[in-house]
Amino acid sequence: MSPSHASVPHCSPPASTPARLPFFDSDRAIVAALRARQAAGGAALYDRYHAHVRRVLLRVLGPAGELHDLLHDVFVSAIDGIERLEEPDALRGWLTSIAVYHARAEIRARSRRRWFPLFSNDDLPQREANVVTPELDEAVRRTYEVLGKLAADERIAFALRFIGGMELVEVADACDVSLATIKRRLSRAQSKFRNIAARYSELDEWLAGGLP
Amino acid sequence: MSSALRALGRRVAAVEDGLGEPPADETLRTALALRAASRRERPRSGLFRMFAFGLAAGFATALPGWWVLSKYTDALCTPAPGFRIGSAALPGQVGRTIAAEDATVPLRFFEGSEVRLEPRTRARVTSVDARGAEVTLEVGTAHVEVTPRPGAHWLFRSGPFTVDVKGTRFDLAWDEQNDVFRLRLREGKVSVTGCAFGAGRTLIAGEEAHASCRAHVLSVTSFESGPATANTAVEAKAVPTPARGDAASDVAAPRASGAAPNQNSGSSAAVRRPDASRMAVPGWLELARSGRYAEAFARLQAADLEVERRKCGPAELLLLADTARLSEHESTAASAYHELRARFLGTPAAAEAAFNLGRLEAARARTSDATRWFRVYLDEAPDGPLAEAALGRLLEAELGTTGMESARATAAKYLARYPTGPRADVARRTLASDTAR
Repeated sequence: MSPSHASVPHCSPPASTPARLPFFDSDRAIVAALRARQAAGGAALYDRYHAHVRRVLLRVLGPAGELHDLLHDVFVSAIDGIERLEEPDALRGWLTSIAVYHARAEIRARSRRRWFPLFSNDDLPQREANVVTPELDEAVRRTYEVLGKLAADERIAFALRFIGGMELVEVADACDVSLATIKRRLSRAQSKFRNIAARYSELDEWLAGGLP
Repeated sequence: MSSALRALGRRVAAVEDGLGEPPADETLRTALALRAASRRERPRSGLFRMFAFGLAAGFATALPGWWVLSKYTDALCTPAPGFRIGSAALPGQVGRTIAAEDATVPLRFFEGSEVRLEPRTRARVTSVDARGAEVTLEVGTAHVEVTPRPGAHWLFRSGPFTVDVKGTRFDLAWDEQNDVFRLRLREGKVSVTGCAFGAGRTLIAGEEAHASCRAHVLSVTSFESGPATANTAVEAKAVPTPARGDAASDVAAPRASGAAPNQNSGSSAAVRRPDASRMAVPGWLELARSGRYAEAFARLQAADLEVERRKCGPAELLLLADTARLSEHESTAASAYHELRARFLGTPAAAEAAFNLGRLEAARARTSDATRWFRVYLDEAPDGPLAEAALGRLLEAELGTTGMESARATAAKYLARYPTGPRADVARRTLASDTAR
């Protein structure tokens, strides 16, 4: 069958197979499907971006047990708010900013739980953490400990820039602030990180500029 | 300082990446698919925002007190998660097999839900928490009534099938030996995943699903809900309608009104043929638009595919062809795409048909034909929504057939237009191989 031959060779259909959701080639197709309220659009959005969104959450929050729930929340927010996405090609960046929004809320919730144990979810069954903690080395553990002492916005900027390896413009977009603001924020975050990290011997060699 | 932080950041990222990514969560994927299908527009007018702000301000003062109060009253009033077995209400143990030998055995859960195990049924409650429970039906029949509550989440597993439940009433049967899964939904809706259900299928009240994993068979029929007796609830078989033509179709559609009489109608009042006057049967267009392609195709075949094709405009014909392609009836799909191009050449739908013909040919490893069709698409819709995909697929096809020269030209064009596109790496490698020579 070629473009010049419209006749179709007869071939029997394959043996019966389970129904499958369609494959979406582009962000535009996914956005269009979501706007048309097609179930396949939700599945395609997850297929294409669950690894990316999870990575953003992981970079900002560290290997926390809440990642699964947050992943759910990010995608639900995206599906519900798909009409607000002005440029379908910007889907990835838009999802990143939603992930950052939820990560920020989680950081603040953790902070509240520390100060007000009444608001804790300890009575709810905890999901199993996504990672096996012994595999984390001390430097990583200490890094997140230090990050936990930064303000939420500073922590996010620091994590996206230095752990996520994002460009300044990407970090600014993800945080929905200007480039100048993100530079100031990063500068403050670096300074605070360095001051706090100085208390941890596990980070000494890293901050001295060499690899242990 | 900055380079030291970057090195530390890379180390952290490497450790995190080294932990590996968990596999895709099918339950979440299915939940998101359902969410997408049931999405509602959010009102965004200024008036609405003012109203919402006023309402929020009004509640703001009362909310903290209510929240604290509800926290403690919930803790006091809701019993601890757990369940009890049988009329003696023996405390149930998570993970332990419960076997109903000669009589029905009820499992009563802390929040009012109940699972009744028919005789010769084995099941295990594999977890219970504040939101609900997970129950594995090893063999036999269970009648389930899940109490609807905000945030409730129940899972029922039987063999490779998983039923995701919020609050509903249904009958579930699983025969592992004969590989037969049956679910009859009496109230609410559930999502079923696994095997013939693929990534997920929502069943609504009044539907009955029969599935077999090994035979890849799934049939969804309708029944008239009524006071079914426990013994006939699942055992009475509904009659799936065989599809015409491609008889191997994986989904049998329910008969329209006037169908053959139900073979069980004399023995059970619970199972009757659907009554068209009381039950709206969705057409193939509606099914296809909601992503239920296999069912849509079965419906098309039942209605007479040729007649439906002739009635279609370009958009509908494209959807019909897509429905055939996505339900794996490739020859029918190709024929419909060709017809679309013959009848509606020059429309966006005809261009998209060219792209999909390229895709079909690529799937058959006929890369030369695939290449030509992708070029046709790019000629007809150079800035179309599938232009990036067409150019990328053209590059991949050319790498396999027409030699490096044309592939390099396509790679350069791709990078110029889509420097961060999903096939940008392939394009760069293609150009790099040129430089290496």
